[in-house]
Amino acid sequence: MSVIRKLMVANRGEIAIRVFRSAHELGVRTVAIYSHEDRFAIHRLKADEAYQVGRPGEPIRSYLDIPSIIALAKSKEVDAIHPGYGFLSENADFARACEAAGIVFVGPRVELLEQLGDKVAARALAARAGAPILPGSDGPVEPGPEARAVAERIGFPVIVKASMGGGGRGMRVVDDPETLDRALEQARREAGNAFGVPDVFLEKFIRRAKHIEVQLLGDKHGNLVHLFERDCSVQRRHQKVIEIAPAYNLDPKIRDALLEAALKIGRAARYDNAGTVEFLVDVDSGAFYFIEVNPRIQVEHTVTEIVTGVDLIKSQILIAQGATLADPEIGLPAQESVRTLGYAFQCRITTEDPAENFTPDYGRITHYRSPGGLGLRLDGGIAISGAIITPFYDSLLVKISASGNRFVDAARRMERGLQEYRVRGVKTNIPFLLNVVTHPEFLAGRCTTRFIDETPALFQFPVRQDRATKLLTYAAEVKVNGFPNIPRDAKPSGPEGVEPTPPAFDPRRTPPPGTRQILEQLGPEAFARWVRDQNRLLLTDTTFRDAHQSLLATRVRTRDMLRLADAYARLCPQMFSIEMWGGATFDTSMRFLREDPWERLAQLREKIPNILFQMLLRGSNVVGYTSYPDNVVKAFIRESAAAGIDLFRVFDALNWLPNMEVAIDAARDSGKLCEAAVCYTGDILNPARPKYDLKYYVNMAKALEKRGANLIAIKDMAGLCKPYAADLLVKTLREEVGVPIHFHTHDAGGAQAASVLRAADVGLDVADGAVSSMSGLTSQPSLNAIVEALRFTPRETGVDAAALIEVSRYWDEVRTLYAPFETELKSPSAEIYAFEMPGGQYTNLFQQAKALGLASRWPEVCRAYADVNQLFGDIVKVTPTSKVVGDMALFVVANNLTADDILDPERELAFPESVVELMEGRLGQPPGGFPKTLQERVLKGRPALVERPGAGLLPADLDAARTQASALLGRPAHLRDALSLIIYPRVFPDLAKHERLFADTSMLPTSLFFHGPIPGVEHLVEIEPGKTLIVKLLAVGEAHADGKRTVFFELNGQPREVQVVDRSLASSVRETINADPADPFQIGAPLPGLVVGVAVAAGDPVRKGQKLLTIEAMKMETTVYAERAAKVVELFVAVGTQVKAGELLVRLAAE
Amino acid sequence: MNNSWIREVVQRDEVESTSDLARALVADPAAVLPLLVTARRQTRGRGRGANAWFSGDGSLMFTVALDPAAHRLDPALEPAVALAAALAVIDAARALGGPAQLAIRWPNDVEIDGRKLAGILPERVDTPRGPRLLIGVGVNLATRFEHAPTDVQRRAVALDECAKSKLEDDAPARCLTLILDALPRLLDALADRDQTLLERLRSLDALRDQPVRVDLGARILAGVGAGFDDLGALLLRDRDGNLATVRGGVVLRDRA
Repeated sequence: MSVIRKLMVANRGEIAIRVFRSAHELGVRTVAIYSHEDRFAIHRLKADEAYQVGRPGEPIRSYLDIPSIIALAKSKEVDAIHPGYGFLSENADFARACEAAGIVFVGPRVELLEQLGDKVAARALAARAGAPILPGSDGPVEPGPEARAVAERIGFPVIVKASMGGGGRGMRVVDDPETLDRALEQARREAGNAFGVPDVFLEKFIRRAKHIEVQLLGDKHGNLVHLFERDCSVQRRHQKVIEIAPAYNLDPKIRDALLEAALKIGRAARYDNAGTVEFLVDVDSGAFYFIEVNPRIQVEHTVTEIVTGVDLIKSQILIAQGATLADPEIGLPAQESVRTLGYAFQCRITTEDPAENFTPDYGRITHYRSPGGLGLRLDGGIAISGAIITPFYDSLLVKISASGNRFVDAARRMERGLQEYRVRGVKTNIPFLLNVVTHPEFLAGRCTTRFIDETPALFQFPVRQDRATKLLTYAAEVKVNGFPNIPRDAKPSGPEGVEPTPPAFDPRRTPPPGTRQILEQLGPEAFARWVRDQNRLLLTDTTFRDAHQSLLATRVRTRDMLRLADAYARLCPQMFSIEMWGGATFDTSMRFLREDPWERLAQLREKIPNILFQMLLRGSNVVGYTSYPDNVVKAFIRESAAAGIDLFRVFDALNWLPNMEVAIDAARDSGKLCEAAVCYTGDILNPARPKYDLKYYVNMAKALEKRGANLIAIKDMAGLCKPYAADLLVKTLREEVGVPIHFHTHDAGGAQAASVLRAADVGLDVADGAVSSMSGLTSQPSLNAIVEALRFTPRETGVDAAALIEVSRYWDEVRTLYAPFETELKSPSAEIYAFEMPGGQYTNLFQQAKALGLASRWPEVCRAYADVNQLFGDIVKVTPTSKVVGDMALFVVANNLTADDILDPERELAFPESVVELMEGRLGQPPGGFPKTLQERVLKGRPALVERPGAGLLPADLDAARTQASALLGRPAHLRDALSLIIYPRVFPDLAKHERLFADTSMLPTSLFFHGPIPGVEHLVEIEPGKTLIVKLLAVGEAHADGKRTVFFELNGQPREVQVVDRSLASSVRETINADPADPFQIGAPLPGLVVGVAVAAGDPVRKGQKLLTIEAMKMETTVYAERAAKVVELFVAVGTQVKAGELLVRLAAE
Repeated sequence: MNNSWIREVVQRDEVESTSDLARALVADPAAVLPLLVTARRQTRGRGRGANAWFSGDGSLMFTVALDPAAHRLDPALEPAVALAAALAVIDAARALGGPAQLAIRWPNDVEIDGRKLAGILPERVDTPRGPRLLIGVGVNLATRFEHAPTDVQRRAVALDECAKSKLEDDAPARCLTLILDALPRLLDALADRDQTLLERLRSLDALRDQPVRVDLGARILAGVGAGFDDLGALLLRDRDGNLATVRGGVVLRDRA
């Protein structure tokens, strides 16, 4: 017995560590070797001593350099060397060199390596031992007619295999004679690279085969046992992916025969140490064939160890020392001592990307979390957080083995282990492994060696959410690049990282029934009658929509609303309705807040089941700025009703009924409440303004009632309905119209609460208001004030004043989060009655004026606004007509025009596009039509529409939109997504892209969303109920040469990094490519200018000298011609693109 | 004519357009450059694209054709030649008694108080011997506009309406001489990207600090004029304070 005191492992990674572990348990001192490329590898830290071998730039050769390794071993007084698997493990020269140096080689005798390592010789041995062998060549073959003859004898298909190694390298399946030579050449090349010897041989190829191998263990004293078999059929391109011990679903007779054959071969060879005999079992015929013997430890030895309880590595070392199998340290006195318990199988986790054809991924592991628990065994070699995966070696990260009493138990355990795994920073094949271990074929034990290659379903992977990484990317992005319209140095308000606190409520209390339940019980008509019958003044809370639309540019996010919702439903159940959708919210939530408005509706609806939800709908514009086809309007209303809207307030910007009819009908058809609105303008008390007198409004209201409105709204968007006008109007309407009257006003003038109260005196049914902290100025009058004012009067509202104070307090805190969007308005406006500008427009128009350099002439602009209104014939001014009036007012002031100038037929005026559209009738018809002279001037002969713009529009293809939306989202789209896309064709794709890049950012706290995280503060982000991320920003790194910055975080206490592009460093707004001057097919701009004409399209053939495009620069036009006949491949510019000198315009290709 | 740098002169009483004639002449490989084409009358004077140039009696119109390479003008600078020529026109007009409010309206008009005095049209022509640059110039010296189209009447002005003293009969010839004398020096300065030249141009910028709308075809860019860049492109400041560079397009004439 030569006791081993110091053992070197001439290998790396996982197997080196495996051997060190068993050696340690034997009390043996361990020595590792490592290449320069492996200097950061873990295996060298797992041994007692570690020495570098080889030179930089020789990652493989370093481990194959026999003389160096032997010399090192001798100098370090190493007693024994374990070769692991691969590398030198089957190299007889190495074993011989060890022997010559007096070092024990932990493996079989040299002559066994020679005999069995050579696949051809091995076959001869097996044949002598009486084992059936797979027909094959008697020796190595080379490309040529002899090889072909052998192949013909064996019978196609044949497989080419390397003589000196396995692992799939040097292997090729050949189906027909023509491809044989080529396959031989390739295989020889591969084998030479991998094993140092290019020899390959031929073998018969079995189509449906199981690969079953038998583990042998023999000592130097002639004792030999088997440790049962392993099923390694699950392979991909001849490389083992999963190995199972013992074989599942194998006919016991075949098993017994296999084991017997293996023993016979082992005895014939007088095998010692560990080795594996591999067989192919022909599933169809039941016949089995010897393939080869692997005279070394194998990658999958682990599963045999699990089911037999035998430490094979330890046994190898002991046997090499001279112990017998009966030695208690090994414990295998006889074959009967070997028993299996349960099943085990092993998966190899690699850094291959299954979605990219298993291309190995490289990089740094930014996060690593391994599973554990009952029945899981991990044999890792390189994977820890921060490890760098290099391209020099194979891509094995870790071997995971699962065991269980039954095979299915082991499979479930493996699935759990794989799901628990977290590897970030490099791709892994885990999604693929999960598909395999859960596949019915695998679970039934029916896999053949073709299973993976023939089952495409294994390659379909669920899109991994990885929301945490995406949200971190968003946080980094906004920290580095800021949020649009928020100054970079703006400090988020409130205590750091803390969100506004909602009012307290008892969560065990369910929300008391409210108006929604009454509507459900009564239906729309009876509900309207119920409204009329109520003594109390009913109230609509606009805080969730119009209030912040007016005061905060519609910027309030769903999250801040949702956090109030539970409390609100319980504290304010007496509210008639909550206006929470429509108006500008649809646009703004997608465009600026990057959240889905439908989600806002769905999520609020779930939390507030008892109060009516109300939305503002612009006639045929629904929630957009242009007319849509009727089918879109109908579908939109239908979907909105299904999603939770109970009351549709429908209006038209010109009070033109035909534009409201489709929406009114659709609202009625939905079974929900249809509230038709009359926009209030002018002054019914002023006899000098007869156009919009009392009679006008009454007539319109009656017409709307006749059309089917369940309620009539007075929509006073500019706050012009003064108290006594409201008194007169409401009183008259109540007399003339049978349905309830709903009053909506803006408090721009400062006296509108009085209008509400006076209207209440004469029987108003419902009034709009906003909570105190969000009321006044351009918003609605204060609900708190109205509630308080009516206390102890007959029209007492029934709303809990104290609860409403709590709600107002919450909104007050929320409002501070939106400080950057506040307008500068400090007081009610004295001039609104003069100018009639709707509240929301005032600040926008001022911004527009400022941009045109007209800020100092603002009073002129306001006067022009009023003048333009008269010029247009005195029209209703509300979005979008108010914008047209505003555009025209700016146009007039900027160009110092008088009314005469405008109407002067001799003047060439380029009217703003919106004005032309208005005059064309694209927004509808005002009462009495447009003034003819003006209309003619503006249209310059273009035809005007007189009928409803929507009538002429072709129905939109909702299915096509849905398909397109699915493509944009990367997941199946709902009809609601299709509608969002149709209504906002340019904004929706941006939202979809945002979601794919950053996941759903709507659940981020608002201050984080706008400002990014505060350094050093722990931000809590609840991505779904019960899943909270703790995000802490550590630092923003210096900019790299490529303009990116690394942002350092802690996520749940673990370090994470994200890279973002710093856009302030980016050189130009538009990413342009320059034409390669050396490539005649790349056409570059000869000079900087504006593309004013494009004469070709992609795919067009062009002649030599044919015009391609025209560039204009300061009136000088330059035409770019094709210098040779060619075909246009791609155009990079279009009419209107500004280009720089040398910029790539067109790519041509030879015809 | 004493402008020694012009090597070939073609004079006509009447042509369709001096630039059309010049274009035809430079196509001849034997053409001698620099070439000057003048006419007393044009029947189809050209502006940009499909626009026409009204050339009534009393107007000065001519086209200079040259080899841009001979004047060190790389293609990126060719459009800015219009600005250099405009400067030459302004200096000449001043010398003839023109008023102080002469200005350049980007990219190629000379105006007085917002009304057009002169227009310059640069054109690039590819010939077998290489690219040629045509500089077409039209100046309203003593033009009468009664028979002009109404929009021209409204927008154009003749020098003699605003000159300090009456124009002599030889004003057209003198004007031409003055412009041609100044041109080589200005083209040199342009090729050198001479800052003094650019300063002068910027000081004469009619659009500076004015609200401007430029039609780029695909969209209209609106902003406030913020000067020129070194290649003569127009700079516009937009509503967010960002500077946009405009190299082409039509500046819309909204002004009164």
